[in-house]
Amino acid sequence: MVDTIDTLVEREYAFGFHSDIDTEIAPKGLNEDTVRLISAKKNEPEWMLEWRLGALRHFLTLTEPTWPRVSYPPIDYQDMHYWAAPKPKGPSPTSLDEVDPEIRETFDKLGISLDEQKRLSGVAVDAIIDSVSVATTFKATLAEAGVIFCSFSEAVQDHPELVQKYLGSVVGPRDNYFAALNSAVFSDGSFCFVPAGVRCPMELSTYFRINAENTGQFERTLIVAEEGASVSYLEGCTAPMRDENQLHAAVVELVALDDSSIKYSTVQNWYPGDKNGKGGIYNFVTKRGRAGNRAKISWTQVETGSAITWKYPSVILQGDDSVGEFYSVAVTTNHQQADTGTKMIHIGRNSRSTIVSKGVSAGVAQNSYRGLVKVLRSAEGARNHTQCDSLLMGPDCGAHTFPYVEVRNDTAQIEHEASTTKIGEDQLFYCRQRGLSEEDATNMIVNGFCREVFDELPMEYAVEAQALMRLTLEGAVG
Amino acid sequence: MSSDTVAPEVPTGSEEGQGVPAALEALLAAGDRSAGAWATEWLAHNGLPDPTAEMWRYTPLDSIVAELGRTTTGDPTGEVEMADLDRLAGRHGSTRIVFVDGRYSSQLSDETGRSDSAGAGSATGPLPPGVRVGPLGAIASAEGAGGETTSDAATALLGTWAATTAESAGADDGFSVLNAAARNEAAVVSVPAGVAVGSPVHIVHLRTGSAEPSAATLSQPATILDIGAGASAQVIESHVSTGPGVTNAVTRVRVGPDAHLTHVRVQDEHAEAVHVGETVIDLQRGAHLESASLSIGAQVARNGLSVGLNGESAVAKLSGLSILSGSQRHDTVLSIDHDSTDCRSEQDFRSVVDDRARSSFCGHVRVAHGADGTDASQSNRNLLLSRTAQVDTRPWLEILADDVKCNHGATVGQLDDEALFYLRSRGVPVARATSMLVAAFVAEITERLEPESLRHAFDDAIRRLDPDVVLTTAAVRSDAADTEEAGS
Repeated sequence: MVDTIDTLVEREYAFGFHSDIDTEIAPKGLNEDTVRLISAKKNEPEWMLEWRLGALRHFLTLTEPTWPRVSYPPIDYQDMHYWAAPKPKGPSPTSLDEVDPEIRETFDKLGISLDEQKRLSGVAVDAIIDSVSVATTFKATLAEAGVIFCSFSEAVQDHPELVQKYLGSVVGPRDNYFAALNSAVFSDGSFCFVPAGVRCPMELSTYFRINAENTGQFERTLIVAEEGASVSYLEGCTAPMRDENQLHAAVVELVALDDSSIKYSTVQNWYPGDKNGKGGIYNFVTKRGRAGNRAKISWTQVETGSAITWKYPSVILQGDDSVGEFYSVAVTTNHQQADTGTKMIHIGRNSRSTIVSKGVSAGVAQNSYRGLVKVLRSAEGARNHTQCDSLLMGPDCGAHTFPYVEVRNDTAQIEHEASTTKIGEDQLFYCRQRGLSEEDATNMIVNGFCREVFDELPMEYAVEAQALMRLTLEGAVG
Repeated sequence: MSSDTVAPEVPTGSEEGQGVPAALEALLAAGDRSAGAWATEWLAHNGLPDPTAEMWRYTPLDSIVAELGRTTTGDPTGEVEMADLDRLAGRHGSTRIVFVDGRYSSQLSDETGRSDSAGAGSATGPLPPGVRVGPLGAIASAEGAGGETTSDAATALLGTWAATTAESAGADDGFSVLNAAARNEAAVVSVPAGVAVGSPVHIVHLRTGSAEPSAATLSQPATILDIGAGASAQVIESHVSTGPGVTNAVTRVRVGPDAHLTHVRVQDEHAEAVHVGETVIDLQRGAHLESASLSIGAQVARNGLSVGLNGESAVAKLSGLSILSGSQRHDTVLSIDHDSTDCRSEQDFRSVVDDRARSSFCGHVRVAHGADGTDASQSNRNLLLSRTAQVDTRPWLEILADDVKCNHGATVGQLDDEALFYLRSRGVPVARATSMLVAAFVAEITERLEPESLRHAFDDAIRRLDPDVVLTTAAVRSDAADTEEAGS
């Protein structure tokens, strides 16, 4: 057991390379000048700058939250670059072929060859390196269907009325500490708009990567599905190996109008730090969706990376008969800490939500589920079922469950179940008796434990997620 | 213990009082500051718990503090008739010791069971020799273990665990320290090693109202239970009152190696009262605890219960029930610490909430690193009977060991539609069917209670629920009996 854990901690972070891309970087520090610089770099309209400055002024009045069950040294928000962009070699690319070959190579290493994606998988990709969107594939195909899928900066330029209407409508610029920070300094992100009645013809995808040193990545994603529209969106993340911690404070807003559906899947594999807990990404993310009448929002996440994860993808079930779902696998090993879960706010009548959370903890990691199910007085007939299970691998890790349930309507039916166990000796014995190695058996059992969540992922991500799990837990049998 | 022991940088001036609610300030000024020197000092510095503290966020602290402020004006009458006492607290077993407004009342107490009055004779006979039941002061001075203060006496007689001290008080322990500052005589039940006490010991803490009906009174009772190695006992602790005001109760319990304690705590205070209770239980190796917390009365109540499984193979079986109507607000906060190997804890807490009442529950189970073989289960079930009723629940697990079996479940909802349909399809009117199901929900907790007289504590509370919908358990029982008779 001890041996196998040793093998585990010696595994390498497969995506830890650093690309030598020429980067344009803003001076360190967080102040109005930084915000003005970012806004100017992006050639933003006045309203956008004011919005940012409002968020910054509010942020400066806030204190960092301490309630998550994670610990880290204080972050110096002044000792950080808030803008880093791959320096353009000439005019900005007009087609994929003009994208800087080194950037293309970076994505090839990540296994998301933009060309490949384009030709074979039919997945439209918006790739973001350090803060700036470098390429969006399949724009034309999407445009035919009326779908707008572009970087956030382009959206601000090309569709200001849409951005102005929906930006901050779900996660306001004063929402919380990290959301306020993001609102002030966000540099780019993805914007997706699916007009009424349109079923998005392909899976949309964003790939995030932090490349430069000492930078924080603050991207902002806004997805709007108009009445009767539907869209499935995938997000993946990696970062190079560095000794210092890097901050990632993103905001994702989903707006699902009446009868629409949005499915948002994440495979998060930011650099988790080395075996001694040195380095790694601080992933402090605010994700929230608002569902109208009969609308559906589904979050699926596989969280294997980051030194610290702090995120609670939530759904405001505002409409009658709206549906919210949260499927999560969070794996922590070595010194990783995760405090993640969801919030389901039931406002509409007959709103329904499902929460399935699977936590796997190994090494000396700490893995917490924290969730809120709130049923307001208006939510006649609301229904929630929550299942959160934790699997402990090794005597030094921790698995915690902190659910909050607040019910103000007597017709609501709320159920919460949770269990914490280690991998059963008898399960292992059964598998080994049939000739499986301890490692294969463990993998099989862990995969079975997480099956319910993997089944919710789009097919190509389900494969990636399982591979990632195997990699993350390599050797952590016991 | 004097104020000298407090670090010099602790200011006692009024500027520090900024963090202290005005009510507390007035209370401390009104009392004898010299009484519990360290405690008043501590309170001036730390104040009452912060409403944003996680373990207090659902407790209506503002209402508690407001009522506390009112108590500086009301003087308790101290008058109780035996009939009132019987009506309020009931009689459970032959030994009943009664404290009125924090002071022992020998007149109201029934000490026939006490060993030092052996010979008085009673149906169940005297308590076994060596068992000490009564006010701490009397017991301590009889044994020459007196001291300057209550906590001195408790420490001298029973050890440091029995008292709240500057060292043991945590940041959120303001109410326990306030209780210590009052220096009331603690009710003590102390059972020596190996002794089995056959009949239940009933401790009643009664707070009298003020002569002026609108004024509020304050009572701060303390209870200490010490069960020696291999001993066994059952203790019933009742909190009742005859008028509005605040009861701030502290109970400290130690269950020795392989000892067995059944502890039933009944809070059935005046409808306008505020009750704050903090029970801390230390379970040693092989100790076995069965605990029931019944929360019925009081407008605002907080029931804090901390159980430490501090020795291997200790067992804690905890249950609780709240039946709330009107605009009652009750908060139950449990903290279960598995610090040893092979311990087991079970929790079964339920609430029935009607009208505009609000019930909150927090069950925080912690399993320490190395506490292998832990088996912890937790269940919190809540029944909502009205559109405006509210329930908050936090079934928490914090686990730092891997060889554990922990699960928890929480439900909030109405009565089961299918069960209702089943009964109605067999000709049971909807009102009767509803009452049967509520009674059954409650009975799963109450039918375990001994002696049987305890089970009727709920009849009144159930009667207060919507009369169109709910009948009393007793009525349902007799009704069932009638049906059986008619059938035979």
